Amino acid sequence: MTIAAELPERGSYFAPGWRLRDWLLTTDHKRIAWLYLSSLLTFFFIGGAAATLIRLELFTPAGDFMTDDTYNRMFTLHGVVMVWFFLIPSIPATLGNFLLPLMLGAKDLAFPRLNLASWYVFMLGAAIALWAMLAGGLDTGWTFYTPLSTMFTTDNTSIAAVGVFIIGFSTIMTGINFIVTTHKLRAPGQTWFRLPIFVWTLYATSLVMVLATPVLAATLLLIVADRVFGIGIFDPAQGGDPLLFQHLFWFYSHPAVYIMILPGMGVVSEILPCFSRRPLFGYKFVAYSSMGIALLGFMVWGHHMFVSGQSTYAGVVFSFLSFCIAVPSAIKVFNWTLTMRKGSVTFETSMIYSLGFLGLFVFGGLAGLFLAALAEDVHLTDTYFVIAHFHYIMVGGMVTAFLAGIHFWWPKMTGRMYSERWGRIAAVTSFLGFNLTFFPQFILGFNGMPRRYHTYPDEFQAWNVLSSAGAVVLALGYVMPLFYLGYSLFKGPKAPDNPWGATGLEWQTSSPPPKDNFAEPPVVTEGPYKYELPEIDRPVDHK
Amino acid sequence: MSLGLEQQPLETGLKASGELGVFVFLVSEGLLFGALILGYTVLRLSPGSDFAGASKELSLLLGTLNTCVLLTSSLAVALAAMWADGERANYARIAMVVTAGLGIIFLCIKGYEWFDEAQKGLLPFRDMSDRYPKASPQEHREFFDAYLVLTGTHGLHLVTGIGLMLGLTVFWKRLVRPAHTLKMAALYWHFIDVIWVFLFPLLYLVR
Repeated sequence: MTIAAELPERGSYFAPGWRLRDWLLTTDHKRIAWLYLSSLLTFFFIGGAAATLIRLELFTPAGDFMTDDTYNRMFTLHGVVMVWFFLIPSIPATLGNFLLPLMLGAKDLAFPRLNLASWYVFMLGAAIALWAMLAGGLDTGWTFYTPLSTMFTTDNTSIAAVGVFIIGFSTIMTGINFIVTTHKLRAPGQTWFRLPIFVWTLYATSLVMVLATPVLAATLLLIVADRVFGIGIFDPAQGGDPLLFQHLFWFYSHPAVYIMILPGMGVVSEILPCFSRRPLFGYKFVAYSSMGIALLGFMVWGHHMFVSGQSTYAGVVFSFLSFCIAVPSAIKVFNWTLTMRKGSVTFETSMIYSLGFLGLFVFGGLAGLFLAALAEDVHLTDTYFVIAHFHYIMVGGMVTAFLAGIHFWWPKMTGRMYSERWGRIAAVTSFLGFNLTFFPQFILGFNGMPRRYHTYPDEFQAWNVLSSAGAVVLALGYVMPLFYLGYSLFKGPKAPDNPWGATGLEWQTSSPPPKDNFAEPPVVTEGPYKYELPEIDRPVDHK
Repeated sequence: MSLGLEQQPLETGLKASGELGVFVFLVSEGLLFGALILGYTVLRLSPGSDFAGASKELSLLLGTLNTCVLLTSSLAVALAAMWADGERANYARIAMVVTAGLGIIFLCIKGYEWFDEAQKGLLPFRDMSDRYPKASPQEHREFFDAYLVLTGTHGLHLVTGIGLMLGLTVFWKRLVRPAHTLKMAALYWHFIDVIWVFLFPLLYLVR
C-alpha cells in the first residue's frame, strides 16, 4: 500500500516553478485546479459580499439602506455569481480537477490543454458577466425570466447573458474531459466498481453538464436574439410563448442543481468511511443512485412552474417525479448513516463538516418535499421557504461539502497540515451560523414573506434580525479557513503522504504529488474502501 | 490531446480518447439544436396560427439545392478521411478544400435566401428601429423567427466547420497525426450535415 514512501524523492508538482507563465500556461491538472480554486474563492466572496448587503438591508422592515433598484441588482449579482461562478464549477473544477486523475491512477486528464482552455473561457465569461452586472447592473434575478428580461429591463441583460453563455462552454469542456478521462484513463485493474464514489459522482455530474448546459445556451441565445434582433419566440405580443422560456430554462437549471450537489455527495462518501474506519455501506447502491439522480434530474423541471400556468396534469406528473427523486437521495443518506454504524468515529475537521452536510442536506431535502407537493407549493411559491430550502442544499450541502473536501485533501494538495483546532472551531461556527441564518427563513416563508422584496411588514422583523445576525456568524465561519489554511501554507508542519490513514489511490502517492502523479504506474487490486476494524469484522475464514 | 501514447497505461489509446471526446461534444451539440427545435415545435403547435403556411414563403428550389450541396460535401469529407492515411494525403487535402468550398457555396445560397427574405420584410433584421415593420401576417413572424434562429445557428456551425477544414489543409504537414485530426473534424462536419437533414424537412417540406 505504501509504495510511494520507499521510492526516491520525485519532487512535487510545485517544483517546475513559480513564475507567472508556469501557472498561466500549465497543462498540469493539479495546477489548473489551483487556478480555478483561487478564482472561485474570489467570486465566492464577491457573491458573499452581495449576500451580506442583502441581509443588512433586511435587518429593518423599511428600505433604509438601498433603493429597490439597487436591491434587485444586489440579489441578481448574488444569484448569478454564486450559481455560475461558484457553485457549478466549485467541486468539479477544483477538487475534481485535482483528484480525478489521481483517483483513476492516470497522469493527467484526457485533454490537458482543453482543461486549461476551460479556465480561460470561464474567466472570460465571468469577466464579461461581472462587468455587465457591476457597470450597468442586472435586475432580472439569476433566472432571466421573460418577458421581464426581453421587454422591460433596460440594463445590460444581453451582455450578462452572453457572459453566462460563454461560461457554459467552459462547463461543457470540463464535462467532456471528465467523461472521456473516466472511460479511457483508468489504471490497470481500476474497474468501474473499484472507483471511489467521488469519481462516480463526478461522472454523473459531467453527464448532466454535457446534456443540460447546451439547452441553457440555446435559451440565452434566444434571449439575446430577442433583445438585439427582435426575434419574438418568447414574446407573447408576437405570438411567442413566455412559458417556453421557463420550460427551457428549468430543463437546464433543475439538472444544474444536481451539478451543484452531486460532487458534494461524492466528497462526503470519501470522508465518512475514512473517519469511521468502515467501508462505505452499500457501495453499489450509492454508485447507482448517483446515476439515478442524474437521470431523474432531467424529469422534474416542471416543479418550478406549478403556479406558472402549466396544465394541472403536468403539475401532477412533475410533483410525482419530484417525490421519486427523493428516493436515490435517501438511499445515499441511509448508506452514509449506516457506514458510521459500529465504526470508530473520530471528529477531525473534515468529518465535522461532513456530519454537518449530512444534517443540513437531510433537512433541506425534506423541506424540498414540501415544495414538491402540489397544493403545499401553491402556498409556498416565491416565499422565503423556497430560499431557505435551496440554501440548505446549496450552502448547507454543497459549500459545506466543498469545505469538507478542501480540508480533507489539503495535505495532499499542499503538502502541509493546518491547525486542527482552528479547523474544528470554523466547522462548528459555520454550522451554527448557517442554521441561525436560514432556519428563520423557513418560518418567515411559511408565514408568507415573499422573496425579492427589500421591505416587509413589521411583524417579520424578529426573524429577519435573527437571520441577519446569523449571516455575520456564518461569514465569520467562512473567513476563518482563509487565515489558518493560508497560514499553514507557510508555517504548517509538513504533511505525511497519508495523514488520515485513508485508502484510495490518491493517498498512495507523495504529498504533494509529483508532476506525473505517480512514481510508478499504479495497479489496482481491490475496491476503494478497505477500512477494517479487527474487533468487529468477521475472521477471514468465514468468507 | 497533447499526451503521447506512452504516457498512459492500459487500454488508453489516444485515438479512442479523442474520438470519444468528439462524440460526447456532438451529443452536447445535439441538445443545443434539440432545444431550438423544441422552440420551433411549440410555436408550430400553438393554437390558432397559420405557422406552417409561412413555410410557403421559402424557396423550395434553393433549399433542395442547398441540401444537395451539403450532402455532396459530406461525400467529399468522407473521401478525404479515406485518403488521409498513406500516400494519398494530397488527394485528401484536395477533398478537404472541396468540402470547404461546398460549405461556402451553401452559405452563399443561404445568404441569398436570407437577403431575398429580408427584402420581402420577412426577417427581423431588415429594420431594427421598429420591430418588423413590413412582415405580415402575424404568424409569418413566428415562423421566420424560428427559421432565422435555426438556420443562423446552423450557419455559424458551418462557418466553424469551414474554418476547421481550411485550417487542417493549411497546417496538414505540421500536425502530429493529421489523419486522426481529420477524422475528428469529419465527424463534426457530418454532424452539421445531419442537423441540416433535420432542418430541411422541418422548415421547407412540412407545409
